[in-house]
Amino acid sequence: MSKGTVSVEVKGLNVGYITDKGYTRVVRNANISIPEGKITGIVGESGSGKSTLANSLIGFINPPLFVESGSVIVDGKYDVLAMDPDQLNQVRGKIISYVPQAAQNSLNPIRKVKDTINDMLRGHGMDLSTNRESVLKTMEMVGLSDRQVLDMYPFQLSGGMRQRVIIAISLLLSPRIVVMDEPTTGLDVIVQYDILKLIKKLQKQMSLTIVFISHDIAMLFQISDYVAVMYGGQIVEYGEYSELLGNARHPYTYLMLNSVPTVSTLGRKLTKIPGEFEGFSNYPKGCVFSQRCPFATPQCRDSPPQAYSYAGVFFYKCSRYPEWRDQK
Amino acid sequence: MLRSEAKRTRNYKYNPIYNLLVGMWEQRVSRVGFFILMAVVGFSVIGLVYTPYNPYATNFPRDLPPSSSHWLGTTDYGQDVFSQLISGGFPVLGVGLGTGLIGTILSIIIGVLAGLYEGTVVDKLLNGISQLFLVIPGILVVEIIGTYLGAEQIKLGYLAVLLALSSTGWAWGARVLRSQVLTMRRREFVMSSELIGESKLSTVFRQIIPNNLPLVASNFFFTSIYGIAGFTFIYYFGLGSVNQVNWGTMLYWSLGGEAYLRGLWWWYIPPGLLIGLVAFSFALINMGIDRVANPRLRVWNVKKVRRALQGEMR
Amino acid sequence: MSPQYVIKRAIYYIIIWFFGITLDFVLPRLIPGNAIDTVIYGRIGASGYYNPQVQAEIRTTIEQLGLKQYNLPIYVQYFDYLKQLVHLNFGASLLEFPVPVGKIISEAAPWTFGIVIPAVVATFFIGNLLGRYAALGRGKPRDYVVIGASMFLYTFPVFVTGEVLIEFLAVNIHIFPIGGQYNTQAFFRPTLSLPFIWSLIYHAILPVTTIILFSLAGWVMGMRNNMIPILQEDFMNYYRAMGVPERQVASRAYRVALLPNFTSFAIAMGYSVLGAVAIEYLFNYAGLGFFFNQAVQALDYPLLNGIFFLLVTAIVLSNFVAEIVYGIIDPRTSHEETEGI
Repeated sequence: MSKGTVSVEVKGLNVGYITDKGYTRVVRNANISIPEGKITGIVGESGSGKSTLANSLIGFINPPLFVESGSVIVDGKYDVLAMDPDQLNQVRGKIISYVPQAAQNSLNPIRKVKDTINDMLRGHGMDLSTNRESVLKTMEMVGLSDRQVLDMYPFQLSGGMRQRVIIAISLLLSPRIVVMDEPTTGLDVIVQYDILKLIKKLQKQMSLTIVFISHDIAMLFQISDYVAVMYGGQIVEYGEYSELLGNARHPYTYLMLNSVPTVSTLGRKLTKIPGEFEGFSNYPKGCVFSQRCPFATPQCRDSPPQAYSYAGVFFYKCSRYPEWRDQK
Repeated sequence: MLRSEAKRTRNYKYNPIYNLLVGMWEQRVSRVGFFILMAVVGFSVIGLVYTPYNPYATNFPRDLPPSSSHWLGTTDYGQDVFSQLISGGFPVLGVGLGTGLIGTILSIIIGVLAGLYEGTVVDKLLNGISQLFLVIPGILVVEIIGTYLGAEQIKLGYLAVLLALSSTGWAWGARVLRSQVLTMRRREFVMSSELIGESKLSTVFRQIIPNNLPLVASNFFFTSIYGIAGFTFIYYFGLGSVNQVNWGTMLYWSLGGEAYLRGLWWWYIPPGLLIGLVAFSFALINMGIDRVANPRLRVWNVKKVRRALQGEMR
Repeated sequence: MSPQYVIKRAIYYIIIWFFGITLDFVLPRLIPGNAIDTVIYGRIGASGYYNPQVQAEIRTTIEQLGLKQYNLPIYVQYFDYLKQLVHLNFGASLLEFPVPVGKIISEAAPWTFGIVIPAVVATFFIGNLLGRYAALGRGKPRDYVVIGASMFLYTFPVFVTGEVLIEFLAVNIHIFPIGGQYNTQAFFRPTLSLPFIWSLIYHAILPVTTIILFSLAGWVMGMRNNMIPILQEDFMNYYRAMGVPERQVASRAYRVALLPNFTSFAIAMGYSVLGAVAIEYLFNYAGLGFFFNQAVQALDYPLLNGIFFLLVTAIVLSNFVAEIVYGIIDPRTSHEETEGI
């Protein structure tokens, strides 16, 4: 890969939940370097910890979430997990921005769109009236050229339009990095496609670094340059999307990609991964995927694999690569 | 599986109630409330078997401040305050909790019936009646009834007060339960059981109520507070039989004896305080129930966990 | 907010109001025997019996209460009752015979509203701000202190709170007067002079304070329990994720949480009148509550009915107003119709 700069560096991150019975670790020893100016996708099942990881990137860890150890360095200098709220507010929105999951609920229901935008701007010491031009320009960029949208309440807008509003808001302060957590969930397929196109366009136009989290494998691979695969709170593989498609290093990646219906799988039976994740309170002893992995050996179940890196920043956590590829 | 077999393998009553009770115990708020309540109940129980003096006896010197022989002094009528206090608790507790119990049962019946027969005349009627009872203040109505009975020289005894308060205090719970029933009936697990053919009544008792246990418990304590407040109100204004000894009548007589004007604080503050403590304990317990039911209201102790984790790592 | 909606709700509340009035009609007629007659005639006494004006008052009283002399069928009685209601004629007070009930009420009502309204307004502000203070610091000591104190003041019998205030602030230390509405030795009748107004305020402080202490909990808990889930809502988190400082997030949350409280404001007005009932007697404050208690103790039935009518009307009205106000304030409701009953 081209040796670009690293936008976000995650080192040894362990995050978990405080429960009635103590503490449950969710994200385990996450290490990843998110490159600048590219779209990095993070894919995983529901409950794999990807949203928790996404929240850590903007330092959004509130009780009952709890950072056990590790660091997240944004833009080379901001250690978001160690900063206090005032410092964080300088970074959020301006350097690194966020498009939330189920964005439909993220707009203040009793404020008009323009008032919410005003709230956001005032949070950074600006306001709508002096920045009207740039706001309108941003709205047009996301495809909302009708100025009436500003005067509407969220419940008056369609899902796709609300999503565009959220994306516009996230770009208001010209951030360099945007974290998008399932930005297309809940939208119908055609609108999803439009939003994806929009994101790609914006990324090119503004040279953004985008971190795109989703459970929709096909969609993720359509848009991402680099992909990180999460399972059971760990990043089990990270690499260029074309590499993962053709030559996945981790069995989970391979099986997951083969379970997606495509034109080439027409007529064939899709792969199904048997069993289900044991849960964070019941964490497997060895490799996190060993219980369900068809290529696992007793050694896999016994001791967790280390991360094998290649091409500098990419890695995979499987001790049986490349042997398992001969077995498939 | 046959229904009889299914019943044997599931402990239906055990789990939801047990979980609620454990949750309540773990929340500090309700623990504290529970202890306060037990303290007051214990105090009143002692009063059942022992009082320093006869609470009704009027042969003591009047208006004495607290002393070693009269721990809470005496009233204007020469009675020992402490004896009255220790023996005067049960009626209050009884009527209060009784109102809570009967009121909650009533609201379950009415709320559930309205919810089950949603949209029909039954529902509209019951709902209308509850709205009625909600808007028109029950305590006023009770007072008026008491006044009319006064014409016949009838004073409200404990049972009458209990019935009067229960019949006016169920409305809020009924409405809430009704809306809960409506919501739950639309949820898949209830709909599926109705489709299988489980009778409506069975659905209510095996699905809806266990899932809404915190709500029912909360309603119980809420209505109990109403019962205690209502009791106090009624006796304070002399509508109840004022010749009995309970905290309410103590307040009545101390008002008449102008205790607050004459510095006889030991006469009215203790009963007021105990009444307040009982109701306060109910309120605390209620807060605990709220927190069990709605984890968002819970309070997390981050420092404790951090310390524990650091302890583990060492 | 469509006019049809308003009318529909208005009809609904009118029906409730009618039930309240009918209840007032039914109750005296349920008492068996001629107990009420005895009480009434015992009070009136023979002296005022022949005066024609007094006769009229007596007749109204008989009609309103459905006494034995009034031997017409029930539905006729009901119509006569309603007829008198329209004229706000409840007959004459028994205790202060032959003063008409209406006169007593119209003189007493301003005093009650005079303490209730400032109390509710003050409690609204103080309570909501305290609730916000507690919500923002939830789990910390200040949360417990605020909740504990306000809940305790609420569950503590309101009249005893009043008694405590009197004993310690009026009797022991002579900061405030023991009771009364104004200094009756200095002012024979109300005038519009500044000293009089000061005397009014001076005498109102303790009663108002009692009501405030008692009602704080409602607002505090309401605001706190409203605000806490709101602070955790998705859109609040979105503000935070975009770097909006917590202070501004808090005031946004406060506004959203305040919305339902406006509804409660109107309702609280209605119920505060009940609170006034509790303490006016204590403070010798000649408002509605004072006379209500007097009516209860002295078995003054016409007065009782009159005050009950007023209270029911006030409460039903405030509930109705609350619903409409909430509909106007919350844009969601005004754009969609909400369910009926």
